[in-house]
Amino acid sequence: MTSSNTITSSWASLSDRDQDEFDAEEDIEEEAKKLMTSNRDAVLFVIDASSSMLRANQSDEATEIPFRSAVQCASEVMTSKLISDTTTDLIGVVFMGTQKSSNTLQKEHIYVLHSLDSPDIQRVKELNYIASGDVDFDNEYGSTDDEYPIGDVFWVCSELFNKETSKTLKTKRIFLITDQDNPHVSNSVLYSTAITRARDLTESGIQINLFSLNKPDHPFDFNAFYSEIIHSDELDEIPHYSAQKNFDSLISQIMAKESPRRSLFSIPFRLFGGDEGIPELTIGVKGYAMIIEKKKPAPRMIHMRSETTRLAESRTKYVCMDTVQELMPDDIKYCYEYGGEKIAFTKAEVAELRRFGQKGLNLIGFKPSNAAKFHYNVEHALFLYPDEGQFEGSRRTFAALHKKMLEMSKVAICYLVKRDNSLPSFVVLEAQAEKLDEDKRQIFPPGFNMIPLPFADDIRPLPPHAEITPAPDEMIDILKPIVDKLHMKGGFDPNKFNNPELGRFYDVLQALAFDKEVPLGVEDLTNPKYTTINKRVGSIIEAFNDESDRQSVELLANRMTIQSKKTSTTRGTRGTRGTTRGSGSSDSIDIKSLWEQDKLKTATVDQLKTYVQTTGAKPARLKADLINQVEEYLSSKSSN
Amino acid sequence: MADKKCTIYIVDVGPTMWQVKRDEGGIALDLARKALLAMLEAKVFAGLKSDVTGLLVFGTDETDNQLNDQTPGEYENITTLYPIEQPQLPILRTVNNNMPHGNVQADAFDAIIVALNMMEEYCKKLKFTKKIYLFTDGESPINQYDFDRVSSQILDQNIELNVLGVDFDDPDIGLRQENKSENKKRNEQFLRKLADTCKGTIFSMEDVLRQLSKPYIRPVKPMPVYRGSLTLGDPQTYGSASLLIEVELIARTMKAKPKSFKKYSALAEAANNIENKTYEVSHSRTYSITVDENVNEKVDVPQDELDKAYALGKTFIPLPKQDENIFSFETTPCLSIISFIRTEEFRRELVLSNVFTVVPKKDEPVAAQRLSSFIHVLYEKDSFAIVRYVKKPLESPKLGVLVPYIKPPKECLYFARIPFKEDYRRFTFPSLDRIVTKTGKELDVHEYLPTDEMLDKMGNFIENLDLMNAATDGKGNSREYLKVKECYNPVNVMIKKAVSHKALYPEESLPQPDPALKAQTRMLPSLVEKNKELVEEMRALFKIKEVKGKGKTTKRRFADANVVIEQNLSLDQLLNNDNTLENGKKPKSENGDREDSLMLDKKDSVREVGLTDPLGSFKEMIANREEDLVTQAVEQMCQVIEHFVKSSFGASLYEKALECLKLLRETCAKENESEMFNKFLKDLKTLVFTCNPSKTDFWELLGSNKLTLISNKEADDSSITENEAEEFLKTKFERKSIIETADEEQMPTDELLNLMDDD
Repeated sequence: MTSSNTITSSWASLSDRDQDEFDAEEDIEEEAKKLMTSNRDAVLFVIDASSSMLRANQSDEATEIPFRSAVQCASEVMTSKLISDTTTDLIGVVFMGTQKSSNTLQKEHIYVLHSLDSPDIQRVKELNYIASGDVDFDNEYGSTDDEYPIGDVFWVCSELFNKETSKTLKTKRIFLITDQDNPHVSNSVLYSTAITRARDLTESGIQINLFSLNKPDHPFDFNAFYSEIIHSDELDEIPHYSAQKNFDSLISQIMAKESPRRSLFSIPFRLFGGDEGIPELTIGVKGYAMIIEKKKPAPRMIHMRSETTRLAESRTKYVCMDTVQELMPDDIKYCYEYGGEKIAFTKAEVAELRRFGQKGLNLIGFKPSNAAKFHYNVEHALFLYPDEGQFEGSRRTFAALHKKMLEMSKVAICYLVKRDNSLPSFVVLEAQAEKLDEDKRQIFPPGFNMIPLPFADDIRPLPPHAEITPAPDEMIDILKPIVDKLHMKGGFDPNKFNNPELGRFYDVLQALAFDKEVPLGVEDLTNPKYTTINKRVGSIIEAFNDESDRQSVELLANRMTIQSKKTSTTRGTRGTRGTTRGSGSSDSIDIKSLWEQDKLKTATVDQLKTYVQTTGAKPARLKADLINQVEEYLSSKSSN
Repeated sequence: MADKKCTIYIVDVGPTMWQVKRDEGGIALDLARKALLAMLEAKVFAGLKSDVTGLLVFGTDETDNQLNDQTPGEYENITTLYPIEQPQLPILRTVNNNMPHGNVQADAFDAIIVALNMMEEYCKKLKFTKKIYLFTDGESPINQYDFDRVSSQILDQNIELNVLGVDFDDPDIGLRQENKSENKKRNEQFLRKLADTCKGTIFSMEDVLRQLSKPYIRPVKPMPVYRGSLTLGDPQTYGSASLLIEVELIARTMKAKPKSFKKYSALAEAANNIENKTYEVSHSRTYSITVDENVNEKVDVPQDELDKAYALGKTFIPLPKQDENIFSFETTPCLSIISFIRTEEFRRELVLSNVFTVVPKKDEPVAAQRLSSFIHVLYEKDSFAIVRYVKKPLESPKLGVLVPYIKPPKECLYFARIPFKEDYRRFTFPSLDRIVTKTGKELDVHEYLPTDEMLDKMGNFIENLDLMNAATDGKGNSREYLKVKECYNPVNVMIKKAVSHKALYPEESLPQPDPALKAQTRMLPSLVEKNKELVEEMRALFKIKEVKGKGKTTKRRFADANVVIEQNLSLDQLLNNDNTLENGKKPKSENGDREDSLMLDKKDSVREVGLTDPLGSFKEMIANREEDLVTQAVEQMCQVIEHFVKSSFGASLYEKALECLKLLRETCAKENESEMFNKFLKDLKTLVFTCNPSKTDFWELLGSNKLTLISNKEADDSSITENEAEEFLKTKFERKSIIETADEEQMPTDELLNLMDDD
């Protein structure tokens, strides 16, 4: 039994096919997943339940109760963690300012609803129940406006976090949602104790993220209390302290923080030199994946025959077919079938072959910003941000490069080796300017979008039938207005489109979990809004179709004459060749050579039918089907 | 239906090919071998049954060919080395190191006729792409009889004739070889005439070798992945008020990965007693479960006792066996437009897949015209379309973008997938061009912000490294460097090279990486040369310093400095030891200009081991070359560790304390401070056992990390022996367990509170 052969069940059951480890390890998605399981995240929601949080916010068009919105947020975050592959993350919910208390330290007005644990469907249900307002809040939790030491809240939080001692727990965060900007206005002792407690939290690696809400009559003053305790890990982790106006902005801010930033790699960015006698200019950068395709998780293997259901771990055993002995990793080489023989390489040799250059990003030079042509794309982009941890001064150097590239509309061309065992690629770095919304909240972060370029090997030529006689202006002009009439406001925002496949998957899973009836369809936002489209552009398209019909008459007439010329010439050559061949029925020869030239369509239905009959098959009725029959028959014949 | 190919190589192995040294050095046969090997290797690597080759040599002492069999006495000194078949390793080995060397001058034209005959017999009337390659120096006499019949046969049978001449003229570049023999002149002329007549080509061998040295990309036949309609509106409901265009999707980019390696049994390789080895490796999967979490033991379970399940949080939901398709929902294949966006609204970095070409259905002029209208509409309106794409029935829909592309005479749409909400994560990062303090103040000057001078230099740097004119073409004109089409995947090239190499030279190590490919991964030497001085200036300006000792330390230095001051919590205060001013540190200011003082402080050297980044500040103090802060640093570090141990909630700060202790120990051993460390460790030992509640679990950590006194074996200034050091850790091990259990369980909350308030 060797441990290196043992793969934990979650990955092992992905598929039963023998995954080539050299191919598999390249997958950045896999890397990201590994990263997530080895860097677990714990989030503790602390939600203020004092009376102002329970009052409906009248100033908004839609009446919202801040407390319920906050609980709803917690529910959404839990759901998103629940349905993600990263179920190793922990989440908990604490209410403060409640009448009732529930915590191990027996502190007043603090109610631990959920201690830190993996997200769970029951908990989501419970949160939704509370958020819906159906719960008898006063009876279950109650609300108080009494002054209680806010320091106790931090203490309770600390206790909850301290129970989790796992080494893989990398980020510990408190999401504090409150509208109370100073819990201890007049009590300086409690005030300073609270600050000490909060700092102790930070000291032990627990971050406090504050999501503040304005009271209808009193805007949240960040400097009243919280500026003393909220210090971010990196200077401006929370760049702007502005209170959330409503649920939408609250949830969007929370969701922006939901996935802790986890870098995929941290590498040197060699701007210049490094070889002997040449001055070196190297900074540090970190790479992040802002886009990773989320797929349906793979099913796992579980054992349900004993009292508790257990997850099975799988192990792949390799056996030598010649000696029938089990193979240890060292006994396995890798081979290529080449010229009828097996050319074997050791694992180290294969690794050496895959390594081309040192880990890092090498600057080659700059090109105008249009160099990142649309079709130069093979996979998703990554995001780069400077890393002072490798090189001091990285940030100002990166910032200078970033700013000048934006000003000069240039992109950088670089050569990238992400990790020691990563396959290399050329990449384009495109500077992304920071973008803020009207509340000065960041929409797009500043940094470089790093777009992997295809190699020459990866580019396929345009197919011959991309050669098109451009459409007449009449047709183009008629159709043109559709673009404005169906313009998507604000451009494309991925957040507007949920993946219906995942939606369906979790709907069904939840139905199964609760033994409910499996829903029939799914909400599919990718479905075009046909009635709107028809209302807005139906008549334009109708006009276009009419024009197209008119044009096609002409087009086909022209084409007939060209074609008849063409066929006459081909027929000529065929005739001379036919005499040299001299055998076989003329019909079948014709069809076959038409097929060879991919011109079966020029044959008549009768010709095709006769031919199909000679093959012993029953001829179809439609021409397209007949052509298929012929194609199938001839290609099967030729491949034998 | 792969296109079938038949190729015959004819190599002149007569005496002039190997007995005569060329002016450039080497022999002609070596050039021919090299070129032929490269051509064959490409075919062997592809390993296609439909791509067959034959190898003829002429000028051999013997004769072995089918025409000579039929008409003995003719077609002499021509040998069929390999009949027409799929090329395998033997032919490569022959070409590489076993080519015959003949002593007879034989007739190249005869050899062509033999090849034609072989080809005719093999290909019969079937459809083949037929090629003949003739490698010769043109020195052997040629019998020109039957020229017309042969050339018309080559033409009739649609055979591509290529003559690869050694030291032939190259009219393309105006090259004329001097001092040619009469024979060569005449033969070259004859071969040129033959090539002209049957639409063949004459190459110079050097040219061919140059071509062959470039990586070869095998063309891929365009295969549609989707054949269906591009729609706007719903044709089923709205008929002619909806747009429908018959289209095909064909890959424009696709990662070209070489065939993957297969597992190969080294045991079989080593075994001597087995015949007909396959070297194959089979695999099977076994499953096990952990029955008792406390015991790390796994029990194997048969696969039929297992069920497939999905995890929903902590809950496992077994898959319903009767309905595998329960998770899918009904879809029909489509490429339907959702709406339009303007080009500038689209974020290039959202493209998450490879790119496909959308072309009209083949041979459908009406579809082409309609698609063209749509392409031009997008193009002229400077817009893209967002689409829903379903490839096959029941397959789940994807989001995509359609982008117009026009380059006469070709035009098409490009299609690529874009993310759903679930695929997209929003991260926030600190601004790069402004620093905002907590009080909301924006700073213009900061160590994270580049100065105007820095920006200017960076601008020059970017300007100087422009690639659009960095390369030169054959005629000496400058042109764009590193086009995508010129960048071959070095790993693919290396794998091909290594496989071919290892096949021919099994004992040798891997071949060296291709220098040209290696060069592409670094900056052009000309650009390096041009920018050396500028970069020297930039170095002086940007002052980039590598962070030694694996990150962590200075990473958060600025933030930490910030924290220390804003918290008003320094170690000095903590210990009521008011040497703030003495240490040269500004007393904290109470007003809003905190960030300014922070800026100034930053410039001073670190003189204090802080609580937030003790490791970093400690290291920096030790590293201070201007004054000796070692003793000070060690003292302060001792205090920090003590503080961590004392104030830890459970074990929360132990990790940190341990890290500090490790560093402290290491440093003390090196810096002649062992006595101080040893004294501290003894104190610490007393502390952990006597404090209330006791921190014996921390001691246990020291034990497992073997963090004990510094012995005189490690450092000269220590008076402790190795044995003593070991004993020191052990002695408390026994006592520890008793105390620990007692205290851990009974620690009253009040005491915890007291502990906290101590600070």
